[in-house]
Amino acid sequence: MLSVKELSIQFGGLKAVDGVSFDVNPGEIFTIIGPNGAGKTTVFNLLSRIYEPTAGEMSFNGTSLLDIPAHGIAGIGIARTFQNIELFDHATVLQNLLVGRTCHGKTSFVEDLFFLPHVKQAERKHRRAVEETIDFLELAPYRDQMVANLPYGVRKIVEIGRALATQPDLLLLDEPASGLSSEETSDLAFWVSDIRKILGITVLMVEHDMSLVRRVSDRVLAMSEGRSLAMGTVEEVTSDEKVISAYLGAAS
Amino acid sequence: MKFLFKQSYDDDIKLLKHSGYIRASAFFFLLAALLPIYFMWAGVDATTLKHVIHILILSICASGLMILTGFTGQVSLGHGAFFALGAYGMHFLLKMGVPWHFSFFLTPLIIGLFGYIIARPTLRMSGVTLAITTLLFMLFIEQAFKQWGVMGGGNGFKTPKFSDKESWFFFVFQPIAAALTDHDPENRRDVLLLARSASKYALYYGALLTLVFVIWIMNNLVRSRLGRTLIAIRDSEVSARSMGVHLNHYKSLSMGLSAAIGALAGIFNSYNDGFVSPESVNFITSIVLLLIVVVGGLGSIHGAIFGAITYVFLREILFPELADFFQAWANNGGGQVAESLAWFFNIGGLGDIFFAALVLLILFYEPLGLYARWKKTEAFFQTFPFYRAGTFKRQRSYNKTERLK
Repeated sequence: MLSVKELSIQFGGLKAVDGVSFDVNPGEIFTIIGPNGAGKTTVFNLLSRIYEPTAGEMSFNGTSLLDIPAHGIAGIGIARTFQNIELFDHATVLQNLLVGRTCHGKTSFVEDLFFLPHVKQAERKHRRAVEETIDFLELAPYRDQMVANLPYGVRKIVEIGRALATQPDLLLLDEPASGLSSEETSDLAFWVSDIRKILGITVLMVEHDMSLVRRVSDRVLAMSEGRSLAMGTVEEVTSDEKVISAYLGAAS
Repeated sequence: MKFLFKQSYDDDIKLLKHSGYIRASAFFFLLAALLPIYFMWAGVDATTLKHVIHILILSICASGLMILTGFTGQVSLGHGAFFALGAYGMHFLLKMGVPWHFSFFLTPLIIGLFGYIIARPTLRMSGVTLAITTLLFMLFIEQAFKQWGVMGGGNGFKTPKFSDKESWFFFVFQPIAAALTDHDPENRRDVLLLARSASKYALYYGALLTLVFVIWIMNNLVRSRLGRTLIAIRDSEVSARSMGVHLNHYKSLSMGLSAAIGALAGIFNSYNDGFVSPESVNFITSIVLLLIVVVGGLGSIHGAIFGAITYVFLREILFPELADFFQAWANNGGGQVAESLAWFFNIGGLGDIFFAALVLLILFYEPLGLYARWKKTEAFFQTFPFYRAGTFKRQRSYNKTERLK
């Protein structure tokens, strides 16, 4: 589904991502782990075209991502969340989720300005789609609240909801469990596996919390200093010599 | 207390969300529509009417700026330029022999398109650089007008009356004005005065209808995809882009929209002032517009109107009235106190100083402007007697990282 080949990016002299390759298969939960500064989030920013890679290829369902601008990524079915929640703070949860429907909007701005009947119908349709997401993530109590007033854990879920509202084929979750309590993390584990099971969405995730990774991921890629160290099931990767030494330091 | 039961999605989508909205809008619209009738009946002088029209015009223009600054979050210090462009564009088209109604619609369209085109490269910038660029744009436009010989160069030009004897406005308002005011139909001077005031009333209703139209547009914006997109850009550009928003296009679109609305306001302003000159629309206008938007409350439709009312009321109505009042008192032997009060209120620019003080107070105590105050008052009555001072307090706040900026 998603295939990344020899992806590299360089910021000045720093090779943030250096020749990383991996494939994500349809219906899979694929996790990228690694110590801080390993380049995991940079891979996400490359995939969502916020950064321009210096070398390498990325393709999604056969189309090269390099031909698509950042604002076109949602349109081809890739949605993402951010490590440091990037919600629209001064809008309600409902409005946030509705923004996720932007790439499905077929109304022009003139139609919007005059709110033609056509727009009204589109609005109802978007609302229905968004309500499904709200039901799925149990966000109904927060529907009309400003994001700025929500607790951190809820915001994390709202962000996942906004990504789901775009009806993606591939969901990129950037540290969904960071800052969550262990209870919230276990809720999240259910949701992530439900996203795959019920909605049929492939998930690519960056995560530090190994309990979550263990519970949901099919395959894991371990990265360190921009390079990939090991790829395979959780057990294979966590028992890999190179991964252990990257996390704990090599025995001298 | 009032409880709202939402039964369909349309309850959130429709323009007037519940009976309270309908009653409030009907009330304010009727109030605005009947105001000139009251003025005619009470014989209020033409200057006051002019100030009231000024409120309408500034409301229109500030609404336009609200789209750009309040919704999209782009600060523009050059919005006065579009105000001026509207006035110049309209009268240039008229001079070219384009029919009035046609040029009235054509001018905002052209200016809006112009705004979009210049915004495409400009809005790649943001923050301070953008503010400075818009300021420079404004200065450039001002100089260009000074050199435009056809439109009077540095002296500007006089504008004709808003409605003349052929227009239907005149037919509607002339009899009303004639019935409500003292005038002698035989006296040529009275008839002329009547004609002039009928033209002013026509201008009032023209501006009022335009303001209602603009408010309607703004409401449509907020409840449709376009408005949500603009708010998304304001709150987080990175994630807006990842949600499929073409940043530059939508930013420029909001600039174009606010330019078009600014041009509309500029057209009415040219008629209200009776003349247009490069100096009449300058740097100060831009700053004032920005302050109006901030005082009113960024990101709210009400805000632009609250701000405009406050500004014009303080500066052009309240303080001159107070000055007149105390002067009259002093002249009637009010003594030392009346004389010193009269002296105080006659200080030039006092309204500006008080407006500035108000801006500061609002920035300190009510960062979301008069609109937030309005919301609090509303909540107080809606939840009476259960309102707590902490209702609108933010429970927690979190720091946003600057990592992707």
